[in-house]
This record gives sequence, C-alpha cells and structure tokens, in this order.
Amino acid sequence: MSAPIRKVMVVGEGAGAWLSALTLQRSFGKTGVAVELVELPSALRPEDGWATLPSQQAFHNLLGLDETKLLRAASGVYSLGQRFSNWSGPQAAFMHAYDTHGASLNHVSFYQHWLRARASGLKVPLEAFSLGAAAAAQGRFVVFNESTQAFSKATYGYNLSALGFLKAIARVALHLGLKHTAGELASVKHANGRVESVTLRSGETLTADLFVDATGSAARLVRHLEPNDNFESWSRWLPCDRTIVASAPVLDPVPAFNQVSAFRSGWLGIYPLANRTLLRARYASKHTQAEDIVDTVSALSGMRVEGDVFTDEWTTGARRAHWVGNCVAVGDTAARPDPVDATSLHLLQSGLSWLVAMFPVSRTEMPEAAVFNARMLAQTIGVRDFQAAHFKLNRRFGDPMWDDVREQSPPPTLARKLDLFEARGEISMNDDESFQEENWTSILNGHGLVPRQWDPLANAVPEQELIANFQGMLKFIASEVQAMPTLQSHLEFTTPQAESDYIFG
Amino acid sequence: MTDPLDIVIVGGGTAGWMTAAALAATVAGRQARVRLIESDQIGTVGVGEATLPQMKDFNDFVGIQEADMMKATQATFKLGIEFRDWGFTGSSYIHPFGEFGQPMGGVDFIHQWVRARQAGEAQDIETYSYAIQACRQGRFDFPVDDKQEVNSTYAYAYHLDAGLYARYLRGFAEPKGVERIEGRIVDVERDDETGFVTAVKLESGESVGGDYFIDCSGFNSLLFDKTLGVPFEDWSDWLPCDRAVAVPSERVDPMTPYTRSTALEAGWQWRIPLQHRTGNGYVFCSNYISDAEASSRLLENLDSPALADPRVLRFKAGRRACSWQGNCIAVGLSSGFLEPLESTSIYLIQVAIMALTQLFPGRRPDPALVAEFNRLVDYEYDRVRDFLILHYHLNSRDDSALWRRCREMPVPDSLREKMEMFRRRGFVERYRFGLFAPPSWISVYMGQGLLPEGFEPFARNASLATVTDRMRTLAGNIESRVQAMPRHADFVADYCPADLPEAPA
Ligand SMILES: Cc1cc2nc3c(=O)[nH]c(=O)nc-3n(C[C@H](O)[C@H](O)[C@H](O)COP(=O)(O)OP(=O)(O)OC[C@H]3O[C@@H](n4cnc5c(N)ncnc54)[C@H](O)[C@@H]3O)c2cc1C
Repeated sequence: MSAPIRKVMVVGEGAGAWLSALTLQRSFGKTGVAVELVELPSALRPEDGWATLPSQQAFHNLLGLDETKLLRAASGVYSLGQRFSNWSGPQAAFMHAYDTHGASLNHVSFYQHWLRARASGLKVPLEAFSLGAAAAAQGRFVVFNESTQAFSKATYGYNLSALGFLKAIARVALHLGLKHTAGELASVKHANGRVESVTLRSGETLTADLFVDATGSAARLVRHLEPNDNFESWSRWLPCDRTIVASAPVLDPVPAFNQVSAFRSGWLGIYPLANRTLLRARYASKHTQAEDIVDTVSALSGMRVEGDVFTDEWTTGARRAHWVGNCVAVGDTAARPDPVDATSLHLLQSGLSWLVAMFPVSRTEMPEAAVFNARMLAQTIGVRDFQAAHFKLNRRFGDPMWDDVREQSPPPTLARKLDLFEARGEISMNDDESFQEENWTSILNGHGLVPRQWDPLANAVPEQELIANFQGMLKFIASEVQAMPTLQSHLEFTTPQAESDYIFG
Repeated sequence: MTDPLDIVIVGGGTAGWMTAAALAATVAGRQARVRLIESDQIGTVGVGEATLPQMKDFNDFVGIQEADMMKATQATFKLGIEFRDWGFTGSSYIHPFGEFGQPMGGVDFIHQWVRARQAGEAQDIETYSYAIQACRQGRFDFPVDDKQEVNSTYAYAYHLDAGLYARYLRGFAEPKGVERIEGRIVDVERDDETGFVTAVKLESGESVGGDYFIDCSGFNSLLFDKTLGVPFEDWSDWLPCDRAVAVPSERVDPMTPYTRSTALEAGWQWRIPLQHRTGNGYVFCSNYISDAEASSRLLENLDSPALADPRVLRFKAGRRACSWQGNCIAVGLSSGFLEPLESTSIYLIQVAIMALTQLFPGRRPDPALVAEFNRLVDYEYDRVRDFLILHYHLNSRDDSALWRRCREMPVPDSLREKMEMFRRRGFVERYRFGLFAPPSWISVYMGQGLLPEGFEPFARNASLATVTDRMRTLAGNIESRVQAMPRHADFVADYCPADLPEAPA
C-alpha cells in the first residue's frame, strides 16, 4: 500500500491513554510508526483501582509484561472469581469463579446431570463441583497438576491499584521510546470526517494520521466526527449511575475472590489488594442520596473506611461506532459498562487487541473500521448482557430500583439466552462473546434461574453411577484444593512488596 | 421414568439413517422408541459423495469404527478439493483441509507470505501447505498429534458411497433398537388445534403415530413442504445451477486423495474417487444447457468408461424458512439444498443431528429449544452459501454467459466486505463455530485470482530475512515429509480394503 501510517497519536488520560500508548508503541514503534501520547490532566486518585477479568493475562503477554513485577508495582493480588450476595434473596449467595463445573459424562454436559440430580434431591450446590470456586472459597491459589489440568480451566483476574499500575505501564512505554506530551486540550480541528490536529492550551498544534481517543465520557475527539446521538444509554438495564470509591484496611489473610453485595439502591464491591482493600459502591441517583450511601458503605462492608471517599458520575452505555474516520475511541470513551463484573479494563484491552490486528494499512482510507466496529459491538453487547442479567434476575422485592429493573424487558440478545437457559439450562452462544458458557451458567444458575427441564439424554446414566461419579468429583476437588498453596503464601512468594524499577519480562 | 418418546423418522437416505444411528447411540431403547419408514419404490440420492473432516466427529460420536465403515462404503481419503478452470481456463488450485504455513512474528502466515512475495522471496502459497503437497503427490497418511510437527497441520475427510453408508448405518442402528418400516407414505394426519403431525399413513393402510416426526424425505420434503408448507427461501439468484447429471465410471488410477471439480461452460463437473468406481457428475444451470447436452458433455469428459446411464437430478438452491416447526424437524435435503461444490450436504445433516441431540426435547417441544435449533441451522446454511457464491463470483472466464453473469451479479454485502478486506490486507475472519476456517477462504481467494495487496502492519516486527529463512525451512520440511508418505491407493488397500464389486453380468 502506498501510504502507510506515519504517526499515531493517543489523546487522553488514565488507563485508556497509557495502555493504548504502550500497546501501540510496543506493536509498531519498531516498524517506523511514530507514537505520541498527549496526556491530559489525570482524574485518577490514590484510592482508585480496578478489578480485571482473566483476559488481562493474555494482554500482558501480548505486551511482554512480567506479571509478578506488575502486581508488585500495583499492590495487586490475584482474584479467582467474584462472590455475589444479596442479589437474589437474602440467603442466596454464589461464587462466579473463573472456571468450569464438573466433567461431562456421555456427551452430556455436567450441568445437565447436576440438574437431574438436584431434581432427585441432591443438595450440593453447583459451585461445589468447580475447582476454581472451591479454591476461591478456601483462599487458595490454583496450581495445576496433570489431573486438575484435565478437570478444570480455573484461572484468575487481578485487582490493581490504578496509580501504581499506570506508573509501571508509563515507565515501560517511555523506556520503549514513546513520545509523551502533557497538556490541556484547547481545540480539535477536523474536516471531511477526519481529525486533522489537536491544539493544546500551550498553543502547540499536533497532527497525526491516526488518532486514539481516550478522553473518557466527553469523547473530545471522536464526537466531532459523528452525530450527537451516537451514545446509547443502558440505564434501563443497568440503572446505577454513581460510583463511590473508598479504601479500607488490608484483609489478612487476603481472600482469593471479590465480594459483590447488593443493597437497597445499588451494590457494593470489596476488592482485596496487597496493602489495602478497595471499596466500590454503585447506586442509582434517582433512588438515593450520596450521603446515605457513604454511611452504608462502611456498615455494609463491615470495614473501617480510611481516607477520602469520592463520588463520581458514571452512566452506563456505549457509542454505537467506536472507530470513525481516522479516530478510534477506546476504553471508557467507547463503552461504559457497569463495573460489577470486573470488566473495567476488559473492553479497553479487547479494543486495543483488535486495533493492533486491524491497524490500517493506509492513512488515506480506513475501511478496517467496519471490521473493528462489528467486533467491538459484539464484545460490548456481550458484556452489557452479562451485567444486565445480574440486575434483571434480582429478587429484591420491595426495593424500588430493583423492582424497576426486574420489570424491564431485556435486550433481545439477552432474552434469547435467558429463554433457552430457562427452558433447558443451555447457553445460546455467538461467535464473539466476552463470557463463555461456564460463566453464563454460573451466574444464571447462581441468581436462581431454574431450567424447566434438563437434557433427557442425561437420563441414560444410571442413578447409582451418577451418585458415585459426583462423590468422586467432590472428593477429588477437596483433596486437590487442600494441597494448593494459600493465596497469601503464594503472593508472599511471588510478589514480595518491594519497589522495582522495571517490569519487563 | 416417564414413557419413552415416540420418534418417527420419515425417509431412509443418508439423512434418515444418520439420524437413526445417532438416536440409536443415545436414546433408542429406554428413552425413545425410534422407527424409520422408507420405501424401496423411491430411490435415495447417492452419487458418490465427498465429505468434510467433521464427519469423523460424527462417526466417533455414534461409535463407528473408521476402517470398518470405510470398507463397507468403498471409501477413500480426502485431503481437499482440486478446482480446475475456475479462476480462468487452465488454472488449478487446491482447497486443502489444512493450514498454510504457521504463524510467524506474531501474525498469521498469510501476512508474512504476502510480505515476502512483494519482496520477491516467496514461492507459490501451495508450497507451504502440507495437505496440498500430499494431494499433488497422491499420498496419504494420518496426521500426527504433536502440534510441533508439520504433519499435524491437516485433517482429512472421506469419499464414500452415501447409499452404502446409509446401509451401513442401518446395520448399526437396527440391532440397537431402531425399527424399520417398509412402505410408501401416502397421507399425513395432523391435530386440528395445534397443527402437530400425529401420524403418517402408509399405502398399506397402516398408520404410524408418534410424538416427533423427523423429515428425512429428501427433495420430496413430505412434511416441511407438502404438509406444513414451510416457505422455501430461494437463493438461485446467487447460485443459479439447478440440475445435475450423474454417472459412475470405472476406477481411475492413480487414486487421488482429493475430489476434483472442473468448471465447464454451464456449471462444473465433479470427480470423486471410490475404491470400486469413480463418481462423476455435471452440475449445471438449465438456462444455459439442455439435459441431453449436459449428459453428453459429461460422458465426453470422463477419465474412464461409464458404468451406467447418466441420471438427471433437479434441485433449487436455498433453504426452508425454518427446520423445526411444531413437532417436525427437517434433516437433509428436505430442509434445503446447497450444491455439492464444497461437500457440505452431509455436513449440514450432521449439524442438524448434533443440534437435535444437544437440544433434545421432552414430550412437548419447548419454543426456546425450537428457536435455538433454527438459529444454529440457519447460521450454518448462510455461511456455506456465502462461501459457495464466492467460487462463482470470483472468476475471470470470458467463454460463457453463466460465468459472465456470475462475475457481474451483486453478491451479499457480507461477502463483498470480506473480499475487500482480503484484497486490502489479507484479512480473513476466524469463526468460533461452524464453517469455513481461514485456510479455506485463503485458498479460494488466491486460487481464483484475488491476491492481497497489503498485509498486517504488525508483521514488520519480524525481520524479512528471518521470515524468509523460516519459510524456506518449512517448505523443505514439508517436501521431505511428504516424499516419505505412502501412496494413497496403497494406504487404502492396506487400511480399509473393500470387497471387489461383482463383475457386471
Ligand atoms: C447432485 C448431487 C450431488 C451430491 N454430492 C454430495 C457430496 O459430494 N457430498 C455430500 O455431502 N452430499 C452430496 N449430496 C447430497 C447428499 O447426497 C444428500 O444430502 C444425502 O444423500 C441426503 O439425502 P437425504 O437423505 O436427505 O434424501 P434422499 O437420499 O433422497 O432420501 C430420501 C428418503 O426418503 C424416502 N421417501 C421419500 N418420500 C417418501 C414417501 N412418500 N414414503 C416413504 N419414503 C419416502 C425415500 O425412500 C428415501 O429413503 C449431493 C446431492 C446431489 C443432488
């Protein structure tokens, strides 16, 4: 192609800005593309942090980052899943572990056998058959051997302190030769559906062939290229619009999972870190006042809140097209899911992975945008639907916000999943999904959506054989988990909390 | 346990007996009574069929021994399809069941290949496909499991006599409890209220009732067309061929481990090697050639003497608006037809059967199961359709009206975008479910003259010298390994020799 990209510019702040800059510098810095970050004043505070999904591991690998060094810099810990409580009735709590359940039998999935067994009186919950869930509940870190490897797909996400994490990312990016300019955005020049340049308060004007917009909800670049109504709100399905962030003392020993509890007008998340605990509450401003929530955070968590407590506005939704002309919106700028499922960085990193794969071959026209947008739409919908399922399936009767959201009809893509699950306990999957069958099964079952019927093919297994098989699995899980290290000792071993300058692998 | 379900399979062609075998392996007996009705007066379609590698999964699922099945069906191995004269007269390319090269420098092989080719450093793409080299040399062996080895990079399918395959499956299904009923169905009874089929009536006056009716009646489409009147979506604007004339001929030596498809003025001709004979046929569009002309053209083109008179079959490309309605499920030709250009018919039978076993209903069909079944089946049909259209559309033949028309016809947007992204940058979408994988698209695009003009910019991270070095090593490795493989005919004679056919009287 005659006119390759000469320069790409990232404009924004926070995770979107730095992870984009590092990804692009790492991927194209040595191929003759100049990468520049125009960093706008950061809104991040020491209290901020993120919970990530297991997909973050692959992303770190792509960037060649050393996991343990990165965790050390971010006071990070591993998290094997999230425990949901008080969403679907006062007693019901369940672990959404990043793992499968049991093993299939006679070409029929484990879940179908479990449904059948439950109908004939089995009282053992689904998660008892998940190695990851058992390890999470017992504060262990999953170390595989040959037999557990064959049985389980247990994996982990991370909890990270935002500033420590981004400092480490910045260090690597600058070390790799990223050009970094700090400043405030004064204006954006655009013509013919493309961004031409940005001008800073300092008067400096900067141009590039391709722009990455990481400016957050204001979408200060990409919004010039598209009609105003491009942002689609999800508040019908995900009604919380405010976030409260606070810190509490470190938990010892450190739990191997996050706790996500629903309350009258929102939910509260407890995210262990190596040197403190991150608390995050979400609520709907329509139904309650910030002051009331701040009081309830400490009451609900049972923890002493330390330092400042912040309240931010965060309405859920997404832009319809993430890439317009020569400008790609990433992360929070493109989509703003509810943080309930540790998805904070997930859409950012999947957007960046696709941007690397679909990096334009020409600076003059970029039909790659169509492929990128289709993929990101599917990913985004996958996340939205998964989150909407938590809210839709709530059984907090009498709480106005929860009553409201339960009555909403779900998006059609979610309705299809709920219908099939309710009929049969199967998950209707698309090609491009952010969460897999086991994740969906875990939460739909956990929230109490009970399939009307199980797969009749499961009946072919004689009951005695099934009971023996189930008992064998439970025994196996118990003894394997017993033999695993505690998360606390694993962390002390792999990531002693000391300063380190580089996080290269 | 509840009473067994009563399942009636209407028709005993490949679709009928594959369904019967799958049910025999799973539910027949305690959970379901399975009966199959077929009529000796009505022939089945069976012309010498080529299949896809997924067929092995089906046989494994059912519990069929490969060598035994191959002996019984006069089967040979298939590593791909040779397309002659498709792009232009005189051209030849192979669509392999295997990879092109291996990922290099963090990108798929195709990108490095394009890059090396632009630098004048790459050989023909076929050089880097193990499966294609084996085809070109007429050799076969099983792929190895070790993913590091180049002879693990392919899969294989079968050429077989579908009539014998149906008979073989009958021998498997009957001892497992499937009852066969001989007779011609002359009438269908339905429930006035629900519209459900309650029974089919045979010429003998016997009435066969059931809970579910699986329509495997071939082009007759006894239930879906004649009884339920499910509309047919006609795709003949894109796929204009509407007839085939088929004729068996004597075995041809050397026995190729691939199917051959040769483009002709008004369609194309297949050649499928079996152990005892060769299957041949001319798929054509009746607007451009008469049955008689097509027959004589086919006979002229044979590589060996004909063993019977040519037989004409009529069809129309398209599919039924749904494949499950009420208590009827269509499997096989009764649900739709896509010409055998990519050997997808038996595969589509398999898709429907696997979806049915996964969504196996209780006494009453749950609408959510029905919707999911239809979604899965439609998805596969639609994708196969686009891939077939590509073969017709992408040609530069100027010798006949059919080819000119196909080149100029508007194609579905989804296909147009795919072609554009390949031309621009070698991009091929990778599906999680269903057909076709990237090497299939790559082989047809390139074989029919659509070459990428660019490649993923990320590819430049590896030095060109390293890449071309690895490509040379790979080509050498493939060449020497292929040399050491047995000849296809020898392998078949050793592994699964079939009985010699009786000499014609
Ligand atoms: C030209 C051509 C080439 C093909 N090549 C390939 C290929 O290479 N690869 C591939 O995978 N597939 C190929 N196919 C398709 C493949 O042959 C069929 O998909 C397969 O044989 C399945 O057919 P079927 O069982 O649906 O129908 P059929 O074989 O037609 O069987 C229909 C059955 O229904 C019964 N029946 C119908 N009406 C009645 C009635 N009134 N009463 C009682 N019984 C009745 C008949 O007795 C028969 O048993 C090809 C098809 C055609 C037309």
